[in-house]
Amino acid sequence: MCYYKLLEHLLHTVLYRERKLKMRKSYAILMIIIGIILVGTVGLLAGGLKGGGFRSQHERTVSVKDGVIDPGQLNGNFMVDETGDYRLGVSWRPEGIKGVLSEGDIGFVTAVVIEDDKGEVIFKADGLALEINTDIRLEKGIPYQITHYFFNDKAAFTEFAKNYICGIKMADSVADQYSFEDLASNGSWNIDSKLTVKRVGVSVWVVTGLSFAIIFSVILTVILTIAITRSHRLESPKYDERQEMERGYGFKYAFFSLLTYIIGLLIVDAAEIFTRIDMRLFYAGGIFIGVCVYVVYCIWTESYFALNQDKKTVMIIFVVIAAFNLALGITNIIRGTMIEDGHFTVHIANLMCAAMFIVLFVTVLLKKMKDKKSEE
Amino acid sequence: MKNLKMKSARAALDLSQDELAKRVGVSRQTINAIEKGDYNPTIQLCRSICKALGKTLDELFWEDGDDQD
Repeated sequence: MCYYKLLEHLLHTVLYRERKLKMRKSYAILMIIIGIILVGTVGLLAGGLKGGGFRSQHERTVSVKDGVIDPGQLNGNFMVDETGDYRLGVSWRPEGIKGVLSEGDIGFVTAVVIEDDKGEVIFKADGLALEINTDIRLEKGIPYQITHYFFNDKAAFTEFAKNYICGIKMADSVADQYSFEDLASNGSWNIDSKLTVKRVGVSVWVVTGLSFAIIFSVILTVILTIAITRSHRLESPKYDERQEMERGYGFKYAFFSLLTYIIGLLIVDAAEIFTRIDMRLFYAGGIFIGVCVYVVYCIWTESYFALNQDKKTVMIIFVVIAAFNLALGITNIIRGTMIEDGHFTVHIANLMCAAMFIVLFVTVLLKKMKDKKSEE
Repeated sequence: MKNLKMKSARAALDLSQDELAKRVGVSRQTINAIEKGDYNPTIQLCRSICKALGKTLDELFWEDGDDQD
């Protein structure tokens, strides 16, 4: 949402200074661009709110005592609310054991099978530990059953392989890849088990959201363009010479802040320090830093608002954008989309954006207080 | 360097900073900055201020030691 302010600066500095374009054209362009941004924002929001996926993360304990595995198998169910292609992620790994597992590290071989409601196997895999990412087609409304089977006996695994993995011919060779005799005969293992089912490609919700957004934006753009171009209050923002100079300094400071940030980001990226944070967040951070430095500097030097600009309107825009993003951020926290797999996701950008507009709003208030004190 | 001449010329006309700013077409803060010596106006703005206050450039903006801070 901060793009609105960015756009405003861009248009003020490019279009109005040029004076070559008539005001009506400028505002029409402004409205069209705002419309396009609205399309993106509303569409992404609509699409993002409904992903059609599934995720679960559990800690399981599997123990082997005198050759008996407890539990013998684990079952779970999941459904998707949209038919389509999904990225299936299955992770099954004993805690505290990194790298490639050998038979001595664990007491059983795990096989995972996903079946539909008719008992048809749609996915299967096996291993001492599992790290699977694959594309799979899932149907809406079908209760899929995911089952983890555990084996420490070659004959039982071969029988399983015949039925689920590869058929009779290959079952022996599949079983031969494990040294069942070397498996740990006693022990208990805490397993970090994750299952993620994420929609691949464009969700129908995104398409629906975008369609509504396009229709809404076109109508809004037309209405606003007509309303504004007919208005007699059309005036280009006027800044006096000191304000123009300060705005120039503002751009300079914002540019160097951004430059410093990018250099820092390159170092952080190379050193792989914040690997648990989505890099897109850092890019968003750069935008926020640049805008914040520029706007805060301009507000503080009384060069942000034009001579003929209504401060109250801008303040209201700040508050509305902050509140809107804050609400989205809180929704993201409640829905648990802020952190995925222990990583901060790009959904935290809403909170960052809200924080930025709160900072800008507070700066305006502080400046007002300072001005009141210093008035003659 | 504070511009006390400008401040006194404005006060003589019983104008507030805001009123002078409106006459000249700049922000109140710009007038404030000029009077405080925080900003050196261009010759064009100096002329506008002089016209608004009914003074000459020399009277308002020529340094003669009296308005040294």
